[in-house]
Amino acid sequence: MSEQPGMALGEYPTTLPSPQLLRDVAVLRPNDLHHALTLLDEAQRAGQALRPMAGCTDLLVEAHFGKPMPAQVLDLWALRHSLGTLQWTERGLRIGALATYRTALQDPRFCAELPALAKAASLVGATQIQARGTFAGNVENASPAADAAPMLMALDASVELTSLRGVRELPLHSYYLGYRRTVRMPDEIITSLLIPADRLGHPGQWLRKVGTRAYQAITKVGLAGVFSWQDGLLQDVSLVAVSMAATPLRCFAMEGYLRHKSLSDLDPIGLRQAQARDLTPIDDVRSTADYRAEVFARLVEQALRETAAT
Amino acid sequence: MATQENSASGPQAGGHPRVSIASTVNGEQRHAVVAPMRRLLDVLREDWGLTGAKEGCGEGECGACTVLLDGQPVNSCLVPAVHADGAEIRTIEGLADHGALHAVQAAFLAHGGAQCGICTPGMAVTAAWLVDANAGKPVPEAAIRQCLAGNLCRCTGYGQIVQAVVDALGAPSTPNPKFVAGSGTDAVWGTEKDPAVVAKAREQEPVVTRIELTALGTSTADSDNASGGGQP
Repeated sequence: MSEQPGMALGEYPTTLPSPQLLRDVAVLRPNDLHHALTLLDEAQRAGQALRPMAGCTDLLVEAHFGKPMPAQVLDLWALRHSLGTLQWTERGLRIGALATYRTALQDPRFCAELPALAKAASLVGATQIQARGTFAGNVENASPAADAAPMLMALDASVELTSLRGVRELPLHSYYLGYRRTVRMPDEIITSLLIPADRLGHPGQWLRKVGTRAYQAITKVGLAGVFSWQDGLLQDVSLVAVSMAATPLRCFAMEGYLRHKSLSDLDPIGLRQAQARDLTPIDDVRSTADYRAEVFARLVEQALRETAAT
Repeated sequence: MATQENSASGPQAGGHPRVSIASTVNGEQRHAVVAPMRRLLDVLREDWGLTGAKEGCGEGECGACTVLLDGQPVNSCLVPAVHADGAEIRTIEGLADHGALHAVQAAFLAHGGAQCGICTPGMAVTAAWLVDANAGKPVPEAAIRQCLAGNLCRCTGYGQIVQAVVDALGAPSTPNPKFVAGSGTDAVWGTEKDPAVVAKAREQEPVVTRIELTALGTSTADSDNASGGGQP
């Protein structure tokens, strides 16, 4: 399931476009990571676009809605046996590029140490989508309403990008350039997502998705956060807003406002003023700016109350 | 496995890319030469004559096209043919064993878990996946509903379907704490909006841990339903 391109009811096609659109898409199937990077490099040198694909839960929805398809795709699913694992290291958790939500949800350690991210994974579409969708695909798809990327961002995850030129790692909160735009270069692929060790088992992980339904829903407004309380003071906090901006967005002004405060210091007006410096939500088919702004502020208040109590 | 001589998608016919795929479908070897991005749903229905899986929405919402791909329920409308290459696929046609109905199929019959029937093949495949992995274990009704949330039914209201799955599991289920708590629309697994309501639900419920739920391939999740109803 994917965030669908906007389409008014009267515009729905009477004949589904996907079989025609998909007929001419060539699929390059790499044998290993080096082969995949070589194919990307060759395509770039030849001036050809080559779109990586994994579980296809976004790409084939785009085809269904008539979005033009790339001439060729790079099938990373073929690499899931080598790049689809969760690795627990001294640095933290390394989520392989082809790790699906199901991979994670079936790992008891993942669910115990990253409960909010497990919750995010369980809220992506439903059972069937969770078997195919990948964390890395969710990050690269760059939807402002993404389910997994915001919690990864709140957990200070970084993105490992690999090309024939080498490997670079950057924080997820600086990965998005704008609506559906990321810093990934055409010859790079996400090879893993890294969650730092000090976030694993952190008691202040918090996530709430507000949607029309429990499953198969796209977020109207959501909050992902990590709250570090000590002696009644919020020592540190990361707050990520969902469906409140063009991308999942870290709310640095709100974090600055909240840091070193106690629950009794909280001033609803001050909180909302800080929020307005971070976020300018919009009206769209799923909700309104006013609803989003007020509900988001209340989500922050709820998260503060609940995490302070634990 | 693939008949890919090289990395490209195989021989071209009339300018269209083609790939030869081989899959094990319901225990039988199947082959096809198709456009590599052709949807598995279309390969199943049109190339292999297995019309049990239905196209409801074509976008991964309704679950009518659900099949098991290497043991996992997937929307076959969102699986390209190349991903079926070398894979083991089980469709509704393969649930019964030499004419003996799967426990889920028998229970759907006994409980009247179908009306118009469009959702039934996908619903039964997802339910069979749940039952095969958890037979004899008490699975909370909430977890059953969560597992089936990707299979939409517009006729039954889900009650008979959930009862059929409980029956097929062969162990008494625990009721959904949402209803036990009588808390209206939004206290489901993982939400702790009203501690009194949650505490009351817990008094009446055996404790089901997150890990036990996730072992089902599902996890705890909260519901922010504005309009009520446990199922989307």
